[in-house]
Amino acid sequence: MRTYQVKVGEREFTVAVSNGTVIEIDGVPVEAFAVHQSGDHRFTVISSEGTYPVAAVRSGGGYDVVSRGVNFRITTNGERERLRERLPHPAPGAGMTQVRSPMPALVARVEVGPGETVQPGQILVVLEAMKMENDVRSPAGGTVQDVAVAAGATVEKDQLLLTII
Amino acid sequence: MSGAIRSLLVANRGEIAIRIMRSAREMGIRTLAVYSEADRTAAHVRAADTAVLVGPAPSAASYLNMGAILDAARRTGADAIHPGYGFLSENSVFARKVLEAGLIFVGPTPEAIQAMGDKTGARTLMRGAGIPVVPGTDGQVSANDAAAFCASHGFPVLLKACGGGGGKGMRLVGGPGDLPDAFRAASSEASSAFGDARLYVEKYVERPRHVEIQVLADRYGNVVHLGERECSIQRRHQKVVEESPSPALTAGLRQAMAETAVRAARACSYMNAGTVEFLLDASGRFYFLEMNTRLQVEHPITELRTGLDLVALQIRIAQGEELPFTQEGIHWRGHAIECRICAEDVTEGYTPSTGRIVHRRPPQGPGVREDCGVEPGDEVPVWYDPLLSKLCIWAPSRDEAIDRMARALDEYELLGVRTNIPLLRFVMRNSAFRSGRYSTHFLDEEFSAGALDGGSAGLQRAAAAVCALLEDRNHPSIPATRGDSTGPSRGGWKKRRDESYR
Repeated sequence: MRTYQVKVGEREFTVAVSNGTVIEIDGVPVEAFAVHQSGDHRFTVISSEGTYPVAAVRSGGGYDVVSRGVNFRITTNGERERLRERLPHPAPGAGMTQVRSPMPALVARVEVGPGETVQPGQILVVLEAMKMENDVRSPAGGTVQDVAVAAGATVEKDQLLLTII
Repeated sequence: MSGAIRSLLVANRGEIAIRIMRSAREMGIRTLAVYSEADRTAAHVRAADTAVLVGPAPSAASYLNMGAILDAARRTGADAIHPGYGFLSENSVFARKVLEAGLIFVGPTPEAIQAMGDKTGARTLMRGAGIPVVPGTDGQVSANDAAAFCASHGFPVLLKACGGGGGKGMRLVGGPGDLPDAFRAASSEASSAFGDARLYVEKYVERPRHVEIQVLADRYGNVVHLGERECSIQRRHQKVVEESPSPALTAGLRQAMAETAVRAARACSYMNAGTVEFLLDASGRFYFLEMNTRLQVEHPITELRTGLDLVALQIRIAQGEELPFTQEGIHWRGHAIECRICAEDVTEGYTPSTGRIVHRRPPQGPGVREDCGVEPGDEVPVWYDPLLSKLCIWAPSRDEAIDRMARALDEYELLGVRTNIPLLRFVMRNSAFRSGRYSTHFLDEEFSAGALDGGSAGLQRAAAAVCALLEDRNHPSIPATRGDSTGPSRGGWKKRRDESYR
């Protein structure tokens, strides 16, 4: 039997699985509980609490799930550990601010250069995604140390844009 | 140019390209698609008889590339081009080039596009026709001119793009301190969306409702209106939910607005499908906002109520046919609502969500129509609009339409990118929306990520159980299996002897 800590939104469930079957949730043995699979991503959960269609795909170190119109972002303890191992960027040094892209986007304009002094709230980079512009503003005052991107580049979510010291 | 169209090139992508091609096919017309390098395997490419690559991913190099599109038309033997919405649909230079190439343009004349496409010129023309307009500058303004207008007319104001609508290049400015940044951002966005950075300023009407009238005109001077659409559920001036009829209109107001819309169409000698947009203030006064000289995103709700196929009518008008009905021949039934399903994460400030569609199970049943641009396996790229699909509902009454849309949204499963379906479900369950009393401020005032439905405890447990099972299957000690999983048999549930794993 293996136990998984499953985080659904703000709630955490402890789910025990044995021989490919859910046998306990939060320490209580399940009764009349079945999970049927009908497609690569489609499941039907039949339990005494009700019937639930659940669609689930693995994504970005967790699962994207939808059931009856409610969308969940679900992580399990195993996934969370793997996600932590995969984090590519080292923690910034003291006094250094790393400005990262909040979303996958295109760099429309870089408004500052290395050595430039910036104020909190000042626009550093303008990103474009899906036809809308988004200003990336400085979270802190300081001096721009490195600019890691140029106009025309595509960036991933969390990709480093520039560093301020 | 007119005459029977045999091959139609659709200069667009996504759901609208597919929708246009469907009507063309029904009319026995050969369909031609264009695509960028990012869209090589896109759904609209698969929907066409023939598809032509027109450039690299950025819109400016592909879907806005007039030369490449006209070249594609020449090479494929197209005799007509439908521009869809957005992209080149309101570009009079493109319309003119299409005609000069000896092709039929499925839309209005270049002159009408130009007259109404320049948003400030349109306002002047409307004023001349005795149609009330929202106070604003009569032409493009520099940042300084904008400041001067605001100094005399006060705030808040809207900065808007001269070159096009759809909320692009638009910024609401609350005070003088916000003006310079807003001007720069709006200019840049306008340039990117329309190839035209010019802006004009409009006084912001407080708590407005956005109500638009669909018009249709042939080349013989026949103009009809097809009723209104209420489009006030917006976020950052982008429509999210539309409905018809508008719960805000009395019969008298509806008649007045419809007649004004027809007058507006006549004032610019309009031909083909178009939409006249109005702002309705709290006292029931309406002002001309702009005219969209193209088919609109939300046209399906007009189709659902009238039983008409607007794309087929567009094609027929372009072929030189007369409108097949008079105003008296148009009838409306029931109530229709559209929800725009977009690839964005509404729990994180509407950040765009790119990725690959992994799973899609759309709703079905009576009164359910979906115009979808993606299928499982399709990429949602960063280069284009986040609109994935339009879910449209018809029902005999407004209350039933809301209930049906809520049901349909609950059935919808779409995984691989984040969507705004949680927000759309929220709208359908919201009492202000149900009451019909809302303005364009609705989403700002009513919605926050905290208002989203987290699901019942039973639903959460079911979701948790599925993920634990999936996690368990990936455990290194167990070979991957797929199939049923049944709990210990208590209370009468037994695993049948002949059941086996698939």
